Amino acid sequence: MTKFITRNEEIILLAILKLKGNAYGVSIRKQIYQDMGDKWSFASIYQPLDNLVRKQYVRRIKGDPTAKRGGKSKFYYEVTPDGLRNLQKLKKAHEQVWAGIPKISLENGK
Amino acid sequence: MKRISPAIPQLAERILRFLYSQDYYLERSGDLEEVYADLVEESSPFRAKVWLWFQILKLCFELFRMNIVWRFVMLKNYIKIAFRNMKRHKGYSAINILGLAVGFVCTFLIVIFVQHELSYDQFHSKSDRIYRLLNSSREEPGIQSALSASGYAPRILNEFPEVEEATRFFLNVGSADLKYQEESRTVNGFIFADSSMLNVFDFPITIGNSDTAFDSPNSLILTEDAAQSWFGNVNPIGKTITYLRGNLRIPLNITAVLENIPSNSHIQFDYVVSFPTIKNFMGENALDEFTINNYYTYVLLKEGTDYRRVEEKFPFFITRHFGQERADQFSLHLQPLENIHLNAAIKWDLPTTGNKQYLHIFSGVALFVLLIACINFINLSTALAPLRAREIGIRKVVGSSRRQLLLQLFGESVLTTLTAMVIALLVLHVLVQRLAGLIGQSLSFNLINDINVFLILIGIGIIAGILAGIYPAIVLSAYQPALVLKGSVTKGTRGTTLRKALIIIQFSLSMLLIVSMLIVINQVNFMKNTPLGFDKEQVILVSLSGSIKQNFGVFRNKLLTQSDIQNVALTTVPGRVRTSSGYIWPGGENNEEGRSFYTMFVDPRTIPTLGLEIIEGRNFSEKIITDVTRAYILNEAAVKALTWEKAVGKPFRVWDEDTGQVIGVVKDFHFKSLHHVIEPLVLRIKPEWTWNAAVRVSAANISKALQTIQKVWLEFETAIPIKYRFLDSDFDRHYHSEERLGKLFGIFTGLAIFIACLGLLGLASFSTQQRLREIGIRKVLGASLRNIFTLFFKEFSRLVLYSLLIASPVTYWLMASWLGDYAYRIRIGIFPFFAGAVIILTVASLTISSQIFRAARTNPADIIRYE
Repeated sequence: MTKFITRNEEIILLAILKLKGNAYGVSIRKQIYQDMGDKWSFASIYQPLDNLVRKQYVRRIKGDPTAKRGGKSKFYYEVTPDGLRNLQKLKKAHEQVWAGIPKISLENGK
Repeated sequence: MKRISPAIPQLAERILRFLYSQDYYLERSGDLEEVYADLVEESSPFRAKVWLWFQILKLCFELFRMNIVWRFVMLKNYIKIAFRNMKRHKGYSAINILGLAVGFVCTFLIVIFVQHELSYDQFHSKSDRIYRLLNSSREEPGIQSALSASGYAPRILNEFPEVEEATRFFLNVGSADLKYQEESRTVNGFIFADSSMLNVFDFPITIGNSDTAFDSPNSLILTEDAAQSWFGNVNPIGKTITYLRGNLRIPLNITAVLENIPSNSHIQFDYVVSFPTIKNFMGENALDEFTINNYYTYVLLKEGTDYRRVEEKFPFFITRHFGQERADQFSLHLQPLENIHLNAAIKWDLPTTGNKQYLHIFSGVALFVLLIACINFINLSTALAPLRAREIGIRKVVGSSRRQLLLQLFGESVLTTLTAMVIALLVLHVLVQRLAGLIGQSLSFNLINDINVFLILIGIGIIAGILAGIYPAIVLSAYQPALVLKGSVTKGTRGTTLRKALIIIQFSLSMLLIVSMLIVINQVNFMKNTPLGFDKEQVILVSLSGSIKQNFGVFRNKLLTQSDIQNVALTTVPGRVRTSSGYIWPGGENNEEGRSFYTMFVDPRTIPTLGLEIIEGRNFSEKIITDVTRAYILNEAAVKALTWEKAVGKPFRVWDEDTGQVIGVVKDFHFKSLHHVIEPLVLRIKPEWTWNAAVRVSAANISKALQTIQKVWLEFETAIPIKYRFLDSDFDRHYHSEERLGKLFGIFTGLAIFIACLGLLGLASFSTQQRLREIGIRKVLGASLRNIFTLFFKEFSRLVLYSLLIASPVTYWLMASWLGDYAYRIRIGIFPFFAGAVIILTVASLTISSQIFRAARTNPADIIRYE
């Protein structure tokens, strides 16, 4: 059964995918900034992240501590096969929903 | 790892640590710290800090929103739905709550009772170190007696380093006559005790000095209640109360007042007199001798002492003081204080002793009633379940997980249970005394004071709620939304088998209770009405005062001249017979020591007064002087025990008298209650040891005869008021605990049947409602009212019949084992089962009939016109 994914969760899933194994709190936030131009608060990142972990679309992996973090471990995130499948479905759905909408009407709002 | 960048503030760290578990804290705090470090470098430390706090604030807010607000919103919804459901099914909810509440009241009452029984003597701060001295003699192997002689306590205290303190009580005084100025009263709870009692036990003194209170002989300590009753609010210290005993007038000086004795103390008293006072009437040596086992001895062991170590040394102690020969004949033991109350096996124990078996029976019965109430709940909830199928389906579609649903449904049952529990607690709070009176106990329960009990009760309530709620919750939460929303869940058929099984259990339990009650009542009636071999009716027992005892002959003759008095005897009475030792006869086994027999101390008039029957030889005679010391009458059992062919004329004596002979044999009669077989008995004359007059009065007018006795009494004794009892009720007091059991069964059976019928009512009404359309169609097709009635009635009455079949053998087995304790018992027979079945069938039928009739009489047009 596919579970429902919110838009924030979708953005974060995509960010994790793009980061290819280097996805942790700070890098995800940076990636979203680059993609969307918005500076999200950590709260609005963690909350969907936790949800994704609970839905088992994302795996949480303990990394090594670094000096810059005051000796605290990083936690990396990785999209699971389930998550990937859901993303693919989502993409297909998006494309179908958007199909047939001419570019022009979008720009003019007509 | 060395820190190379600025750390985030301590407080922030702490907040994060508080908000998250270890792993999440590491991640989140690390992430923040990383960005914070960059910010400090890029802009200013101040900006970084502002950013950091802003982030933390947002984290907090988010957590709050997710964890609390949403849960609260759902909770609100759950509660709303729960109340709506209750409202929608008012009748069923009322049945549920009422049934559970009644069940709870029963259970709670028993819990309070059991708790009280188990708490005996634990209020003494040294209760784990206090032991009572027991002794057992070779003559009665395996039987321990609680009474000991006065000489033990001082010697044990001196010779055993493990013993910190020892104290003696003289508790079997019975009632005492006290006089203060012009007022004289007969009081109970009058005892004698060593001064060390205040060191061993925790009986706190409210007025007076505990160190000196018992220093001098003839000191008296009162409880607050006793002091209040004599002196009101006046300080009683220094006042003198006179103790009238026989011919003696012993002035007692009040030296202290004690707090009232807690009801869970096995030693109960209102007046305690210093031990040396006993010398006044028991002789100068009474405080230190070994012949009279009349006292209760308690020892306080030093901390960390194993009482078995002390017990092991007792044989040496006995050898030291009595010689090797006596050491083989008796042994001493210690009994832990906290075990005293519920150990009924000790001989000569105090009358406050509880009964473990009854504790078990009571608990079992309470459990049954609660079970019946819980079953009601399960049955009704599962029956009503389909009506809620849509709600469950929608919840699932909207995204509720099974766990959430379980919690919701579970919460609903807990809510119902809690409501019932609150009602039950309030009822208990107000009515506990009256309710306890019904089962013959005085109990107190205060919601606020008895926190421990209260918590136990709450625990029981919650467990019952969980038990009752678990099955309905599982059933309901398992509905498949797709099926439910299509409407294909057939109404009211799911789990019918289980419901039927549960109804059978309910009625089996009710049957068990009702049949047990009938059997107990039968046994009590049997014991009260069986011919005892003597005539217990119309005999008044008068306790003699000292001066009347002295002039007993005159007193008796005066009584005998009265028209309504038939006979008067100075005698021990059946029901109060004890053993006496030292009987010797040629050919007896232990000739030097003598053997002990149950003994009645009688006079020549005893046999006619009690209506005993001489079957061989003759009665005692007032004309034969040697009868006083040298004549004995045995009962048949004694003759059999001695294996004599012909008893009359056989030489027989007591160790301190000249040899006499057996002059007669009396037909066996029940000198003990019907719990016991008739044992060997000796009748002999010993006026010094007898303080009871048995007066047989004519049947016509007992109250007038009583007045006559009182009038004669006043001619001889003005200082002490007359004390009398009736022989029949005095003898029947042995059956009090059985009567109490019968009463308890009666009450609880009534309640159990009531609750079970409530459940049946609910189910019958529900199932007929569900099948209204079927009824309508049947009627249209020509079924008569009677047809429909039989159809439904069969269904329910079959269940009741099954339960009768199941319950009967179990009950038979249980009650047969209960009756096994009685030497004389009824045959159980078929009647109680038959009566129980009739009662249950009748009540159950009446219950369901009303529902069935209502359904059967509805107009089919009203029901099926929408089809």
